[in-house]
Amino acid sequence: MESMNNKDPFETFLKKQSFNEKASESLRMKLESSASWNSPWWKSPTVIALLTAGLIVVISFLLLLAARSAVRSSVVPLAEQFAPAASPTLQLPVVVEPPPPVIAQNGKKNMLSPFSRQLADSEPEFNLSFIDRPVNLINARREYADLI
Amino acid sequence: MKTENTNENLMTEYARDPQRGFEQIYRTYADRLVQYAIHSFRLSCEEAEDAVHEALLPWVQSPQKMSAVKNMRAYLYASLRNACIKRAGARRDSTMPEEMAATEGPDVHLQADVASALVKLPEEQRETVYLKIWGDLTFAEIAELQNVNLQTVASRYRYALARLKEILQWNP
Repeated sequence: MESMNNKDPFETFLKKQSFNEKASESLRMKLESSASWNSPWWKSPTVIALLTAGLIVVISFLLLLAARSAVRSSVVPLAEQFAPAASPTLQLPVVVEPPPPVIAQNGKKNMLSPFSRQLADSEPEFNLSFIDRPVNLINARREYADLI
Repeated sequence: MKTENTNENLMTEYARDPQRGFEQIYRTYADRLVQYAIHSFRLSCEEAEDAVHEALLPWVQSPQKMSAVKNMRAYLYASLRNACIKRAGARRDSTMPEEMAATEGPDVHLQADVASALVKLPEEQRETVYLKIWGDLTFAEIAELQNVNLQTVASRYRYALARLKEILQWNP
């Protein structure tokens, strides 16, 4: 506004003397190459840092979960061990024991232990096969009621 | 007034579509900024382009941030000024770029005269007259840019015009 009001002819003369220097194409290319709209969003350092941090958090969380589940399976709480029987009638828990370990094995596959094999050979003199059977007090009492 | 409207349009376009908006800003200002760096700070063409690159870089890297700029033209000149001062500080007493003498065209001789006359002005006066006449900045904007008061800018401009008239032996 002020320049329009006090227009000096010399100012107009100077204004007409435009300069010839031009910005080169390489400047334009340089700016274009570093433009944010020409580089993928995930290449920005902030995004890379955030993604890395997120990945670390997720991996740590998974490792923590795995560690916690491993500890829980090895330790049985006391409350579970001595839990009261659900039914009112007295019923002893059925303990299923694993078969005795195979101490030695010959060429042919015989799943009986040496002691069991000896018992089987000497039948019917000594029938102590119940030793290898699961211990169930009720069943044992019923089976050997005449002997007790 | 017309320039203000153009700047507003450019900023609106830039905020809406940074890529297209920057294209237009570049087309409007790139040459003028290079010329400002060359004639006000007496940088070589390469140095001037480096400075312009530095000044324009935020406009392509952080469009969201730059969309908030209120006065684009003044901001561009201010950021270029900072970039030029860094470079000119190292070679304050350098000679005028050779490209200016080699330019061709109908007004080459006159332009070269004006350019050489500008060189003879003190740095502050040269910058003031350049920003006022070729940069289309107001006295208030120049005062803010140079961190001086309005009266200082007005007197620098007056002295600069008087000196230029004298050097160019201008007769209306």
